[in-house]
Amino acid sequence: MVFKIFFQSIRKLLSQWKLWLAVYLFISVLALLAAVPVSKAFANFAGTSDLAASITSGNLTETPLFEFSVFHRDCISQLFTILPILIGLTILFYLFFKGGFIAACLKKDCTLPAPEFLRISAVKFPGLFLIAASSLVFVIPVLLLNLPLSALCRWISGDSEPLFALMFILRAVLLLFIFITIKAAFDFAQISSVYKKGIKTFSAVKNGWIIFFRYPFKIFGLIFIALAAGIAVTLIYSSISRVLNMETAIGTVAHILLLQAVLFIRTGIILAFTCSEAGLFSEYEVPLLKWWYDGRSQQGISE
Amino acid sequence: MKQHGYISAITFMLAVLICAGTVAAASPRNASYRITVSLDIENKQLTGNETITWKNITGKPASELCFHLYMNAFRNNYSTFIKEMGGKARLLEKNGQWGWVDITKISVSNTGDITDRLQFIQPDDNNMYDRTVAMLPLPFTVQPGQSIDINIDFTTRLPAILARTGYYKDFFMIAQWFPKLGVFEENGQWNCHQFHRHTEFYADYGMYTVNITLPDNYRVEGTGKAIAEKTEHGLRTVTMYAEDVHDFAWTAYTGFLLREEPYHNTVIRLVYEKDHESSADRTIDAVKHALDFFNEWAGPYEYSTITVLHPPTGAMRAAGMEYPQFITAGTVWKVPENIRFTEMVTIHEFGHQYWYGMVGNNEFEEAWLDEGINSYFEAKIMDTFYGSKGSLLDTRKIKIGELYSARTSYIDKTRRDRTLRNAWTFQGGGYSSFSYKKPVLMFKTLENLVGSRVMKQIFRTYFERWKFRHPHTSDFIAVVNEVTGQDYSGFFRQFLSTSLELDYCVASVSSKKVPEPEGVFDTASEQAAEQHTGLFHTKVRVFRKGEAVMPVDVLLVFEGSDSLRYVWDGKERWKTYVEVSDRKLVSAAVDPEYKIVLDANFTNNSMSINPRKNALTYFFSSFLSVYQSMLLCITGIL
Repeated sequence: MVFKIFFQSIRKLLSQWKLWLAVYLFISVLALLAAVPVSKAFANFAGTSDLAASITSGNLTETPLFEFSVFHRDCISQLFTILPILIGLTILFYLFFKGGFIAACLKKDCTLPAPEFLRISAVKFPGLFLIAASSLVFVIPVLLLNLPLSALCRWISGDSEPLFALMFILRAVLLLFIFITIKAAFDFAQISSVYKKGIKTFSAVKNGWIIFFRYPFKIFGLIFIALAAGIAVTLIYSSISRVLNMETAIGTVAHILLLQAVLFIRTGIILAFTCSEAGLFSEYEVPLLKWWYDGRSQQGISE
Repeated sequence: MKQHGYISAITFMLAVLICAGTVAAASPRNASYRITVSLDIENKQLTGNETITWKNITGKPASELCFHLYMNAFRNNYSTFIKEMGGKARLLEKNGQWGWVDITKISVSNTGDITDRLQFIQPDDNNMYDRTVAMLPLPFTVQPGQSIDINIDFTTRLPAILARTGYYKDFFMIAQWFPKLGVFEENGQWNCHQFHRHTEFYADYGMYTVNITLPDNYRVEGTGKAIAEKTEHGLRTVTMYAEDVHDFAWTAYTGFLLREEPYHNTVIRLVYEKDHESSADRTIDAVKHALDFFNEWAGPYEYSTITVLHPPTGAMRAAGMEYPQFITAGTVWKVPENIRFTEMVTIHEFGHQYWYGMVGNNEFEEAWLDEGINSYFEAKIMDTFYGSKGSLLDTRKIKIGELYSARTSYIDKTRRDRTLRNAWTFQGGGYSSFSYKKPVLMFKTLENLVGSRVMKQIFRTYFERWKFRHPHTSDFIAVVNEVTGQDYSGFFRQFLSTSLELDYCVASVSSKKVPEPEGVFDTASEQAAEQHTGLFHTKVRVFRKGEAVMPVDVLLVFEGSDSLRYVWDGKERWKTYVEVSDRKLVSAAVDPEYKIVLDANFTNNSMSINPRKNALTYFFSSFLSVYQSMLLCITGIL
């Protein structure tokens, strides 16, 4: 069943390819803003140096990169200044378009005219932003929980190194599980907020958690498929990149194209996952809601 | 009583052996120790008696004695050691786990008890609270060639493990634990420094006979060999014996496993706990590699055993230290084979058996002579046996070799300090960068200049000449000059005694077609000018950015892979090379083979006429994809 939902979401995503492309391009433009100054500085620094050639071997830990970071600290610190701005812009942009995207995915045919898409995005943005921000209420305590958890693991493992390693892995898996759970619950909170008109943040979050606990296996099934797809893409990328000879111009260009293709597909996987969550919501939750509200229109997206 | 008789018998036996001339003395053996000590497990306390037989081998009389009381470094938070640690010693403060050593009684030859004469001195920093050095004015003068017996009763309290000494649960690492004489120098002064955060040891050679009594469920390992063992009333007494050494350290633990492996004339002994089984073979292999390399590059290992300790989990503060015939390495459970931290530490600490152990320089004042030379040997061994590119870390994407590691620690602080200074006066990470890493780069540079064969000869000569003695920097330089037949004093002066930076670069390159002659020429010069028409006028300017001077190679590479090579003495600030030829210049480089690894910046060593777009495109795309992935990750989280 989850496979069906995921594949349907891929179909829907393909019909929304412009949005897919927009997300990829937006991220790429922001990344360009960060990459250009560093690359420019590197070009000035080592562009005519014999050592620059060794970079094409793909081993970035060799001396050139290190010496670059030593002699161009200013460039690195500049990068740290610009990064928070880029991250902030990414958050705002993605949350803005996520509303419209979810609304489109909730529709069977996944069609949403551009003006409507933008209108819904604008209307739903504050709600989505508040929901995303309120997820910190859960994330921060989990992060704080890590400290006593770490102490507990140390206490349990005592002086046994194998046990310590095992506890470390268990702790990492547990934390990952909790974070994935929070992420999934808040995704459904966002979907609820898009679907239902005038819903308050608190109610949306509550709905998110209710939905998560109602369909935990289906949700984890979707997460598993998305992760598997991501891993498969990474494996394909690393196998192809191994055979590319980066010391030739063709090899370099091919590598760049391959990298960008991988990033484009990863963007698609993220969007497809969101879309399939929306699909799961309309498949199982919407009939319940319709029954609950006795046919009255509560759909924010139908206005 | 019984114990006393047993100790006397062993001592007598050893004395007979020595007097019979069956044991050839490799060292002056002018400071020999006979120690009887018992370990109180409950109170973490050692109670002992030692008899030091000291002979004045200098030409000057001695009217006092100076002792290291290293364990007093952990006595309180006013000690010089703790102050240099930032005044914080949380580990020791916890439950009052301080460490100290007290001399309860001292007598010299027939003087009777003269403990009241003992006074604490602070030759390095006048810190009145520091009790790591004690001076004993003698009621008589020890004349040149005269021997005395010093008898001391002492009590040592072990701290919670710190600076490679102390205890952790039922594990004991017992080093710097007994009152130990300083070195009486030819100038008639004692060389006896306080214990500092960044200093190690300096002492005279001798024979050590140490009787250790402790509960019989503990295994004892340490300097030398166990020559007798006896168990009575639940207590084990082990007699350890070592000769031609200048210190004695030991360890006791209930959970030790032992692996012994003979290799050539040496028995490699590895003591470790169960969790570190996976590192056992790797550790022994590392020692074998080191033994082979040192045998070739310095000389034979003069002792019959080497004991390697991997401290148990929780006692990693005991890791990475050298004592005569006994080293502490350090490992963790199932450390991946391509991460060679265990091998690196083992090889480094083993190397100290040569540079510190057998060649006993003053680690307080000239730390580079052991740490620097030894780090160079460590790098050579690691690179030889594990591959130079990834000798420390060898993954597909990330490779870290010893040379890279040394440059990492040095090139961002080239001008910050000099190498030759008292070890305790280094600031920040200076001790590591300038005593360990810079000498690695200096020796590698020297090796690239004189060749491996000559370099090997330098160390073989140095070792042969100075083993079981106390060399100084000037002695090492004298050996270099002798072996190479050239004066390298200036080379060492620049890189040891100054903080001058070495950085040569290509400042500019141009290669343009000679223009057609225009204007007014006489016939002869016009003909000459026409001969140059169509040729390339190439101009390369090389520049000395740093203050340090070294001769460097300059390479001009032309189209068609033709090249010209020059040697620039590097003394002037800059030099211009001009060539007129039918080939266009592609690139120019100073030190094209990167022989001078002390050079602070490799990336300015070369310059091409055209930028290397291929590499830059790759670099740009890699950075771009890193940022894209990062931002994409954020969208995935939202």
